[in-house]
Amino acid sequence: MEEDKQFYKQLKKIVLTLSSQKKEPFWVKEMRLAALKQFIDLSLPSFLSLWRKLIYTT
Amino acid sequence: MASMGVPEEDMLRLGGIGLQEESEMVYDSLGKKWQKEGVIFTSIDKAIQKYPKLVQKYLGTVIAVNNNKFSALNTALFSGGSFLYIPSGIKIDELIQVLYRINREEFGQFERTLIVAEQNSQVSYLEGCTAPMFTRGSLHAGVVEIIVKEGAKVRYGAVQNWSKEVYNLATKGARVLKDGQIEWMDANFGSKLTVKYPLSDLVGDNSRAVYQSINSLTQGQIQYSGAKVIHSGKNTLANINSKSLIFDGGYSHWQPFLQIQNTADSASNFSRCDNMLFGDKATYVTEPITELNNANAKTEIEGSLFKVEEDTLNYLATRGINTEEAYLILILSFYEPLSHWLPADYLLEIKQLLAMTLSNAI
Repeated sequence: MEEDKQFYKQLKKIVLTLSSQKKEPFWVKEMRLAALKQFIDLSLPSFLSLWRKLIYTT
Repeated sequence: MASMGVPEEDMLRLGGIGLQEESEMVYDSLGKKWQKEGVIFTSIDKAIQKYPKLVQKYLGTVIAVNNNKFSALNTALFSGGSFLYIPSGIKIDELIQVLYRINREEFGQFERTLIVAEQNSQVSYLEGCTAPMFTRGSLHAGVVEIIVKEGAKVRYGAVQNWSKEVYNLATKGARVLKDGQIEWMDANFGSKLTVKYPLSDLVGDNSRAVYQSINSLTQGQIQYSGAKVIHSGKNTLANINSKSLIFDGGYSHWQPFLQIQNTADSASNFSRCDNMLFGDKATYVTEPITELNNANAKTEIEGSLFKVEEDTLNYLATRGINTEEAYLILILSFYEPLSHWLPADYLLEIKQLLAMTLSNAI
């Protein structure tokens, strides 16, 4: 779904910003991105829509 | 710290203390004598900077990235949380305590906790979770990973009193090596929805797991919980207990998940669930799952239900005990077996939380 792709892109941006702000080693950033992919894969569209609003507030 | 609700005398008797507000660990401190012994207690963010190889060795080894969607989300977004490392042979006889707070509505807290207990070490670690009342929901999706090495003993406690608009979706797990022991103590009083299934992965021979949860569910509170135990070592033992108070409009779904692998000769597992119902609209479901792959293993599952009758309250009223006091007496007697092994810190906090719950629910 296009909406989910956009959501993934926005989350990825948040993850990269977070990791950069914390000046984390490469392996932590890689772990975060792999987990984000898993989160999208494991979540149904209905679940994603439920949590979008909450995620944006972090 | 006193301004954050931690009395000075409490700080003196603790081995270490940490405080997380929103997404950042704002305070962490460890007693000097433990620092000299090589114990590390700091925020996970600082630990990644100061001890990258040590953290990399263990982070994500108990709760894999693909464990579930909540833990995956935590791994992607974690910020704050604590790292505790106890070197071989060190036995910390003081409590390590961490407090988590959510002070804003529509907020997400994704703390990450990593505890590594080296061979023959020992520690007691307690988390307290709290949030003021909100009108709109917040999300707590924490992950706790514990590595218990040969002969080590870890006691992990959590007293959760989030506001009733918080979604509490925690993933916790411990890997226990030979002769090691993990003790979980889990008290749940707050949150709108709690989903929690702590894992004890008993990989080492003679490893042990004890899990004790106490729960209180009032109007509108929903809890899906249980303990997961995987026995793969020989002669492993697990004892799982849950005690829930369910008031009108509360819902509890208890699902212990037990897996005994074919390598787990002479493994033994005992699960018990006790529910105390208040009112006709309190709901509970008990649905254990067992996978038994070794004929030499032993499993037992028990459950009980207790309902407070009008006659009991009337009897206590004739002794000059009002309704609220009567409920408190009945509840404390229901929880009585716990008092033999729960530390005084836990009992005091739990008693205060119960009194607050009762004053709102009755």
